[in-house]
Order: sequence, then C-alpha cells, then structure tokens
Amino acid sequence: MSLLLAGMTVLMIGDSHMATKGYLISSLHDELMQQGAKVYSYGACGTLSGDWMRTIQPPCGGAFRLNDKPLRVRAGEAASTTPLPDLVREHHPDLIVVINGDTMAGYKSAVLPRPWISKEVSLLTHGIKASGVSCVWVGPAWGNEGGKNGKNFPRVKEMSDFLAENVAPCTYINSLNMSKPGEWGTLSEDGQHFTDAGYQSWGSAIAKQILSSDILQKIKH
Amino acid sequence: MKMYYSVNASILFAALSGSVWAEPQLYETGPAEESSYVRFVNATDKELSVLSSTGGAKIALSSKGEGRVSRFYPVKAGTKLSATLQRGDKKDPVDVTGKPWEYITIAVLPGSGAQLETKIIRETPTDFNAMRSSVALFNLDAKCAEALMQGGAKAATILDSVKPFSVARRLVNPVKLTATVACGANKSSIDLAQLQAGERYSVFLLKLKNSQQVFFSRDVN
Repeated sequence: MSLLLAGMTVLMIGDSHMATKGYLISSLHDELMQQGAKVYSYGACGTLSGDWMRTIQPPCGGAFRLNDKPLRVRAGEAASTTPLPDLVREHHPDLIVVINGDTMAGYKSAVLPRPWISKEVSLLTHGIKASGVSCVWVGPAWGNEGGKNGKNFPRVKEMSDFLAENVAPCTYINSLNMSKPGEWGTLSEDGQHFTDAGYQSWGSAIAKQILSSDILQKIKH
Repeated sequence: MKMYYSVNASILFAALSGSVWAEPQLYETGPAEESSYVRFVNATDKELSVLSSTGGAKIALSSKGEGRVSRFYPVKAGTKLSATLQRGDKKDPVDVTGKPWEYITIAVLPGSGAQLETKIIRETPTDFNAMRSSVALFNLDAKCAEALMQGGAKAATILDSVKPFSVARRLVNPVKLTATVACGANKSSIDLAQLQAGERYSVFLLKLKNSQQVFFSRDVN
C-alpha cells in the first residue's frame, strides 16, 4: 500500500496493451489497486491518441475494467471508445494514465510520421489539459524485432524520444529504461505484444515509476 | 488543385463484429497514407487567388500581414498538386510534388512584367515539441544574401545566415517575443506577441519596391 496512491482514483486508457486479459489492463491495474488506488481502465486495440477524444470503433476489439469488477472484453461496435471528457465526468480521476505509442510509430514506414503523430497526441493532451487532471503517459516498450507489426528497436527509440517531447502536460514514463531490448518475451511472430510474464514485468515497472514520480506529490485529493 | 483534408486512419479499418479476439489482431502502426503539406504565400503588393485545378476551391491571399499566408493543406505524398495563381485577369500555373511529411511553402513573387514568379521552399521538420515554440525565418528577398533574426532583451541571435529562398528554424522558449529581422544594414522589427508552447511560427522577409518588409504567421495544418 502506498500512502501517496491510497484513496486516489486512477483512470487508465490505452491501446492493445490494455485490451486483452493478462495485458496491462490486468497487471498494471492490479498493481495500482494493490497500492490502494481505485482504478478504472479502458483499452481499445489499434487506437490512436486522438481516438480517445472521439467515439470510434477500434479495429480489433477492446476491454474495460471498473476497479474490482471483472474484466470485460468487447468486440465490434460494443468496443467503441468513450471520449475522455465523458470518462472524466463519470469517474472523477485524480490521475490519468495514458498507454499509447506503438499504434502511431509507423514501424513499417521509412520515416516517423511526426506531423501526424503530433496532431494525434495534441488532440488528447489538449483534452487532458482542459480536464485539469494530472496525467502520466507511458511510452512503448522495446518488444522484439521481426514480428508481423514490423516493430524494430531504432524506431521504438525514435518514437519514445518523440513522445517524451510532445506529451506535456503529461509526465512521460519512458518504458525503454525498464528493460533491455528483447528482454521481455513477446508472443510468437508478433514482436509487439508481450507474454503474460512480459506484461507482469512491464506493469510492475510502470507502477514503480508512477509511485516514484513527482506527480503524486503534487496531486491534492 | 485537389485539396485533401486529414483523414482519420481509424475510419479505414475494417469494422469487426461477432467473436471476441483471444489476442490483438494485426493493425497498421501509422497513418493510412503518407502526407505532405502545401501552403501559399503572397509576397507581392497585390491581392491574388489560388485556384484548384478543377476550379472547385479558391484561396484568397491578401497583400497585408498574416492574410498573405494560407494554412498548410495536406496532400498525398508523391502526388502532383496542380493549381493556378490568379491576379486580376492574369493566370499562372504552378505544380508541386511533396515527399512524405514534407512542408512546402510556395512563395508568389512579383516577377518581371505581368508575369508572377514562384519559389518553392521545402522543409521536413523534426522539431515538434509541446513545451517549446518553433520559429522559422523565410528569406524571400533575392537580393538579401544572408538574413538574420534577433530577439529578446539582449538581442540574441535566433537565426542567421538564411540564404535567399530558404528557411531556417529553431525551438525557442514560449516567451513574449519581439524580433528584429535584418539584412545587412536594413532592419525591421516584428512583434510575435506571446508565443504558445507547441505552436509553430513563420517569419517572412521580403522586399517590395525597394522596401524591406517583414510579417509572420502561425503555421496551421
């Protein structure tokens, strides 16, 4: 139990890393609850940052988990995103945790699409700023090279560096500092999504970073 | 000229329904197509219009201040954009093709006689930053071998040695900025007011009827 996190309400939104049982919607959600926070998690596979400011049907399903209630997995229209302002009105969070990056990195493209990413990210950060809620933004982890998503280490680094400079007012949490490239196991022929053990490691490392972050000291609740 | 507006990649994803996926499915990590961005700048002393090749769109550019500059229009990278410049009854064609994520500024100059002249200035910026402001100096004066921009209380050099029909850009802190743009002994002052973090600005230097002029615009795309 963390004295800083206890009693705090955390809203987590993210992409595919938050949309399947055993992923961060399990490991990180559990970790934050164990530290005494009330946690509300929403994941939508394949979503861009800006998709959390609109209602879109994600290309590969979604999931949500309301504090201690069971994880619910949804497909098709039922997986549609709920815009952040509505989630904030519903849950009154003290802290927003964004988990997003891989979906915008263009791993198979020659050039990182900076202007396009900037637009997507700023759509969400402007929404977060307007909500007045503190936030942290978790960037992509190393994964493994050669999978079907085309994930590769140079581009992950490039993407992480880009996000670090563009997610303000959120505090950036750099996942690349949490492991060595390829250290956490990924699903066969995937490279981007981790095994349950990998998500356990990532979730623990993110929770540790959030707990040691200055941001918790500044939140009044 | 066909003008493309940003298309949310999410609408290109196929809608899925029915079964709940056991693990995330493949999705594109990046935009559905690569874009470049094109804008027009009126560096003449008369109003002019830019007409699309189909005649369906018209951009009016004034001969004063910020009204000289259009927004950046997204165009599919690698696709030729054709447009017509119109001043009074006089029409001149202009073509341009952009590389992925390239920003193209088409400057329209007085030219000789009734003929308009165009200069194309290209940049592929990497300096996106939500905590700072990006300021560029465009030198549209053929006779100014090296343009210089200074600013702040100590007249610090912000950008220098900007050759004719080229651009230099850098990140600055989001402060209230009054700058001096100089070409040799000719100096002009310009008030950019309070710069906003995450925003991008362009300062243009031109010469009309032997008089140096400076104006600026916020980059919009």
